[in-house]
Amino acid sequence: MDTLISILTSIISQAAVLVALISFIGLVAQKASVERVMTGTLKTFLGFLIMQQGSNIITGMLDPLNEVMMEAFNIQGVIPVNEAITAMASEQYGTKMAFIAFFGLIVNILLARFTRFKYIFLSGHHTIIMAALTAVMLSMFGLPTAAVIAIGAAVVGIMSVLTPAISMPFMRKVTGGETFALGHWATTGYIFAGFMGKIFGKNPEETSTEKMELPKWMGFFKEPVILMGIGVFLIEIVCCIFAGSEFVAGYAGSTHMVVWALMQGFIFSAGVSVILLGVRMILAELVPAFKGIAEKIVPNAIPALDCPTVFTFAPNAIMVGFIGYTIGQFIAFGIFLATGMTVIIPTLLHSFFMGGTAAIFANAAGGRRGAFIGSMLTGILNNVLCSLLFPAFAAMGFAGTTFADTDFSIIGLIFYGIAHLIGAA
Amino acid sequence: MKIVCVCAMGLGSSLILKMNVEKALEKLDLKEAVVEVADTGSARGANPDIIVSSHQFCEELADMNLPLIEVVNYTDVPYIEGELKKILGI
Repeated sequence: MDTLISILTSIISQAAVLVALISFIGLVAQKASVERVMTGTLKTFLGFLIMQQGSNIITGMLDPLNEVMMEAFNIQGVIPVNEAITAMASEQYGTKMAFIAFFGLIVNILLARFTRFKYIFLSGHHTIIMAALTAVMLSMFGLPTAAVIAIGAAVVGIMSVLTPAISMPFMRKVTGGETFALGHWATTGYIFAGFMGKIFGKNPEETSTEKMELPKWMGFFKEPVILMGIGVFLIEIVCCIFAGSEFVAGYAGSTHMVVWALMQGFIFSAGVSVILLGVRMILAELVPAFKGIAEKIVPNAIPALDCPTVFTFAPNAIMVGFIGYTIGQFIAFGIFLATGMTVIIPTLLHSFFMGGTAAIFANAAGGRRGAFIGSMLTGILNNVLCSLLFPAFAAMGFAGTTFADTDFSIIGLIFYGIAHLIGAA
Repeated sequence: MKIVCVCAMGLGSSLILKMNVEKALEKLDLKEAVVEVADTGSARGANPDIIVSSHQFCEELADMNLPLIEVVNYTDVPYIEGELKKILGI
């Protein structure tokens, strides 16, 4: 009996085992072959372990960067990368995360079945990230685990149908139909971009970004992990120059500062690549199972999909958004330095995904001028929200990275605000 | 036969594509085909027979000289089915 209890407790407390078990249930429910069930379950298990190892690579690389940045500018900069903070959070909050994600999916199906919001949220990576955010934020209140899981799952489930619903008016303009909805948790940012596009833009039909000719070289923005490596290298090299080679030698040893900075930048990329590999393995099993089950229960379901699915509808707007959003991030950076707020370091990764989608929404409402101004203002808004929320994570022992997208920040800030009101934070 | 679905991170959009390619394959009764997801870097090493992606990545991977299916709407299964038919000559 004791052995059994010990095994059961271990299953629940080891998130990797728990996630594999969820995948096992999904595969059995789909009546997959024994071989598929075995490999699928173990692949999910492996994927989760890979994701956590990736987090170690990033932590090991962010620590020296923080020291060098502190020496150079006396600031603690934060590089917002969802996957990195999620992988870090999974080490302490993994079990809560897995339960929140699992029950969150069930809440999503129930809401789609019984309300008029027929959306099934298929961006599984965002489900996991939102589960991580709610697990961390709710743990701040000292609630029992069951309550953390119940509230977290309710938030994940409600957000899964609410955000596709509120972005639908813009999505109709972008895709020209209702075959799919947007399932990406920067939705409030995209809607904000859409309204800003409307206010500051011109006639969307006549001045659409898609009526412009863009130079070919801009195609290099297509490789996110390369962009990330170059971006972090640039941060490293600036910090190294200001910290001085003597200080950097404490970390770099005999390696030249420039080479060390290059290595560090791409070690960050390597860590994110490892995390992505793990997440990819988890999602490959979980998302199709979820979709299959959801479609049986909700016959007229509309899938809510990851943001690049709208990229094909306005490819030029992605480039306009990339530039506008990056400028916005630097304006926010200036605000942080001037006001002493937590410094969120501009990331090209988000200029690509969020900047691109923001510009597509804003373009649909206000043409190319709308796209540029809309994505720029969204870049400012998003990073200011990240900066406002970061102190909550710093208090929980996280450093160097944070959740990146608008909806995560807004949900986090709501919990943080409540915690302040009742004196928990 | 190996079909690889490509997006920037190999996480979200490519998985949506994979599920819809599998639907199309089911309609064509092609059970032996394997469908995988990848980012552009790993797509090159995945040794695919057919690539399915959006315009920007199809352009990037054009030098692999493979049959490409370029999608605009990721959920358009009949379109994917039609393109597969053309490529496979059925």
